[in-house]
Amino acid sequence: MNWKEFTNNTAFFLVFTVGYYLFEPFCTNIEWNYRSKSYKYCNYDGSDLFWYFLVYSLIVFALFRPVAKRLLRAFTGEGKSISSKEYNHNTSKKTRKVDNNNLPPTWETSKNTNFDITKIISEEADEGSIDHSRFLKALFRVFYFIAESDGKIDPKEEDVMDKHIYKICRRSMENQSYVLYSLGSIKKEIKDEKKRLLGPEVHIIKKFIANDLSHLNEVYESIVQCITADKILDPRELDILETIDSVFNIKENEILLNTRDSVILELETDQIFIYYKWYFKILKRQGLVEKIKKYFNNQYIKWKTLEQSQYDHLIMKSIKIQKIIFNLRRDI
Amino acid sequence: MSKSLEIFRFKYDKYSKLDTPTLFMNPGFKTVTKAVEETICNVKETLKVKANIRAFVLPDNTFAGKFNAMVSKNNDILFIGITEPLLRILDNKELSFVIGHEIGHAIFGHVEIKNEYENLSSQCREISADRVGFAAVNDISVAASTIHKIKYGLKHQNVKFSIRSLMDWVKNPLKNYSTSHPIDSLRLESIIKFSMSKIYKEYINELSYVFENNKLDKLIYSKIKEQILHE
Repeated sequence: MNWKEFTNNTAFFLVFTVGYYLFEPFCTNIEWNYRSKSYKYCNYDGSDLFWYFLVYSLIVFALFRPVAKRLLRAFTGEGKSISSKEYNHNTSKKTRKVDNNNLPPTWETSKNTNFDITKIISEEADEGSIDHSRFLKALFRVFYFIAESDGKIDPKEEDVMDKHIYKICRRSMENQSYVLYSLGSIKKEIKDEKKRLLGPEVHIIKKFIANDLSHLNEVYESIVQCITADKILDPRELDILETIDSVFNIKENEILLNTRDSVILELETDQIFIYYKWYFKILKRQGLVEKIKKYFNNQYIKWKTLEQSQYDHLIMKSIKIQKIIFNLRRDI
Repeated sequence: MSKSLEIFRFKYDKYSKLDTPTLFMNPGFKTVTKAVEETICNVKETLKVKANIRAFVLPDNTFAGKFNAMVSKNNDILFIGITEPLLRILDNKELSFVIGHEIGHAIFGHVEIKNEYENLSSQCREISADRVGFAAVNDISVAASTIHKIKYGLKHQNVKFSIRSLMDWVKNPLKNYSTSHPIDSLRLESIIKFSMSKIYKEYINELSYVFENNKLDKLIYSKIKEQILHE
């Protein structure tokens, strides 16, 4: 046992205390008698008791401070409290994410022993706390994330954003010019941001409108339109689409799937081929062979019936895509 | 597949050896009602076709209009798809014409994926298929009303309709006309003349006929060409 453990040990502390109060009065009140040449015990008064206690306190403070503290807390019934240093150490990572205004003042935390920092964090992430402004910011961030994926923001991609803003304004019950102004300023604010993340923002969008299917469909359509605005599906855009689809759980949502198809199938045949190949690989990777069959049957029928279109170019497109589907089905 | 119906092939509908399976098995679509299945059985009996036919309702997301039907094939199984609005406006006989028409496409090998599109060959195919459709109902008025309904989506009671007026439309009054099918008047003329042709009369065991097969096919072909030139 080293010295530190010794001073931290409650048993030693108790032995020391008992020993001190048994032998100290005896030791300190024995005087040397010169005449009899022997020790003589003499009575002590009240002031001696004070000195005993003072010496004892000094020794305890010097040697057994941790044990004494612990015992004192146990006697006073305060429970385990933590120092401000310990508190900061434990919560430093979490508090960075939490708005300081939501933390109770320090004088309240010391009194409230039920205070729980994790509760605030979970409330923050809860869907109830996502307001309309936060949702719109998330939406614009997603738009700009897509727009910047190829290095520059295309005017056509901004057009999609503006059309979506216009839709929101039309639906709004408030003064439309005011809504337009505020949405424009939010858009500007987001455009000036330097760093953007995709996943968390899509989650915010999903949480905010998950129960409103028509709104979800409208937002999703605008996102896909933003992806196809330049009429080209590049691999980075398809990766983004895959992330968005996984959050929106598109493979379980026929309406969104049809929305995506209706936007993408407007593209040229070569882009549709890229799209089919990409989606085919995703479904195959997930082992959803039945889904592949159902999806491509549906697609085949769409294009087969388009053979009866009144426009020659659509008929030609239909025939080409039927071939693409036929070739893809060989890879199952 | 019935080989006896092969004789109905329009002379200018070139034979295609390709017969690629184009639809996966178990298409996963809504199946048709029992009444439609019975109609299919009746058509199969009338045409003496032994094919395994599975019918389904086309999903709503089809591109080419509300009133449409299609046929596809996988090995020996025929898949016939009909849109829900079309099923609603057709009666049993008219439905027989549509099913017969689609079976005709399958018999003549029209289900393969084409390499290129050509108006003329596409319209010739429709003439062949219409003949099988007519053979399934053996009634010109049914064929006429079906063509009319598919075109306009209107129920018979709601519109004044006569075969003569339909025949008189040399050019279709609607601007946006399907180029894959001949115009209605030509389709109807072809069916009427086919009903009086030697080949059809022999099929129904009648002796008298008006049109020789080759002459009839030449006549119809020239009219199709003329129509395409006028477009």
